[in-house]
Amino acid sequence: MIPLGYFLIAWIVLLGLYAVLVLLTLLQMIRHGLHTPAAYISTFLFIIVILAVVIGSGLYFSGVDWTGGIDLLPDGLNLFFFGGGAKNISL
Amino acid sequence: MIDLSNLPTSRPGEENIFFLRRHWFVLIPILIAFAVVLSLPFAVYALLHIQYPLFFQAPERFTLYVLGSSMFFLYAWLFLFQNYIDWFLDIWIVTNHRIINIEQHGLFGRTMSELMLYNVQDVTSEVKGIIHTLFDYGVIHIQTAAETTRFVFEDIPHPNHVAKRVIELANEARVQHEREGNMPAQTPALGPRIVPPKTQTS
Repeated sequence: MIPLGYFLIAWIVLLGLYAVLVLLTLLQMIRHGLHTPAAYISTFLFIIVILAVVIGSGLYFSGVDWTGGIDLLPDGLNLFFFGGGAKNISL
Repeated sequence: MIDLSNLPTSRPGEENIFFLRRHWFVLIPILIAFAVVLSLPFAVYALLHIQYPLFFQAPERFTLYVLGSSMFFLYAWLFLFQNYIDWFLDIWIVTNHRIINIEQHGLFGRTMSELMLYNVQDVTSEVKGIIHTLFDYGVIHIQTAAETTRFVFEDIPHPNHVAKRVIELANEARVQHEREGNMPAQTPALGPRIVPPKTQTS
């Protein structure tokens, strides 16, 4: 059983790294991009989609009980991946 | 259009003739790749749901799926935008005095070079392949007398028209350069050199 909270921590770490990459990308766009409507619209769309995904995920995660644990593979999958299912085969 | 006063060493009376980017069609393969990548989390969900209907019965597994797929989408979206920036920030500007080549290489690489039109020795436009011919985009090679490396306009729209206009501008710039009391540039008057379009057989 792996605590579910560990996955949330990993997600937040990846999101932090993502934020740095997004800032660097936007910095490049602002510094070198020409001040045209296309530049503004595309940058705005880029930010809006990111915000929508992060806020949407955040809203979903706010309703999750993070104290529980998780078995990554169900029994059926364990049998499938590790060959245990062969015992159940009858000729 | 771009305000030329923002460019380095802009001259009085300098006019913007062409402001060129790669043709929009070069973004299509990137968009297709993005759509394929974007469908992967949905495909994984559908596959698990079909093969193991009870897999997402435990809400923890669905939470894990949302964690993974949301992060996957965010990085895929960033990848798409960085490719768009790479396309958007590759610019070729032709004025009545010079050609400016600005190229973005990835996120942190940027090259800017400039070429005076009176130094242009040879202009070649090239449209290769069925897609390039249909959408009328291709490559222009510009050779100067002094430099061994050529200026290359990559995947620009209407390359034959642009090449002809650059030749005209180069001839005008050469006359102007000599009129201003400078040594004549050691380049003959240019004529059009256009590679006829070819269709790909394979």
